[in-house]
Amino acid sequence: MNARGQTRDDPDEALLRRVAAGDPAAIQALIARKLPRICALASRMLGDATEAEDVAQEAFLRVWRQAPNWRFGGAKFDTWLHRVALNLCYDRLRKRRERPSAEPPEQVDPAVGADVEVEMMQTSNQVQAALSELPERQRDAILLHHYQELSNIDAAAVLGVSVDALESLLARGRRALRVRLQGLHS
Amino acid sequence: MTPERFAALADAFGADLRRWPEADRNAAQALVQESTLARARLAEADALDALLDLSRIAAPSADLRQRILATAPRPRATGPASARSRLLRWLSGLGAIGILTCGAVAGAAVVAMSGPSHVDADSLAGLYDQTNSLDVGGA
Repeated sequence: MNARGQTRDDPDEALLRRVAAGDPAAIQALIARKLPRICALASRMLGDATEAEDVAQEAFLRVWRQAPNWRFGGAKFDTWLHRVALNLCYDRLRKRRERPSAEPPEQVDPAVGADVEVEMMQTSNQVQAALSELPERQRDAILLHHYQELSNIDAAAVLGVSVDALESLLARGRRALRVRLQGLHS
Repeated sequence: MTPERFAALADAFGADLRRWPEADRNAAQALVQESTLARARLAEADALDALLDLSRIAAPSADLRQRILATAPRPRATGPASARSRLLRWLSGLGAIGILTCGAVAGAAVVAMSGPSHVDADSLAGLYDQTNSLDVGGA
């Protein structure tokens, strides 16, 4: 694999070829393989499950349009899909900034009760809040590398930065999170 | 690998060496085996990784899967029963004048059926109705 994340060995190639031919089993398999990942990325970026689902749905519309035209041997399909999802999220975040939001994103109500599930959700929300307070690029680097488990090369390609720049973003973001999450125990 | 470089990589990529840049893994592994300091840096990184992993995301709803599936391309029709073959047989039944008259409409339909398409029997019926209203003449 070269420094731009291009490879001849795309793990999604065979599946994508069958999707392009309209193979129903391949379409279901691609949805099963990619939908949870794209939803997770969008949920963490937007902090809103409904908006995340809208992003995922739009991303797959683009997959169906692109599948017949996909050129293998270039960028990996997963890298491209992450780039599409990221851009769709950026669009929504930009629209939020342009207009005051009427309602905040969905949060767990701490008054519901002090059971374990609620406590876990509250902790999750605290981590999510710390992530959302990071500068955008640091947050995105951590989302792509830690949560989406992209390699440093693929994450750098999605963000359009060098691997050295990605490493710097990750290091700064993680240092900031270590400070913000002090006192939170796993 | 120097201890300083190891610390920088742990800061950036966390405790799992499999997630580190490929070129650095072997040297990092060697340092971990011989250095207490390196293991301590990994433990710090692991603590942060564990905190990050407390962020939980709900799985996509079944409804979302269905909505996405509904927009997926249909299989390309092949063989004698294909929509293209049926359309061409129907056009040939109109005679030469009929084909010229509705050539533009048929051409658009053939082009539409060339790629991943959602053309189905209803769409063909609509095309027939539209063309049938023209003064095509012939048999």
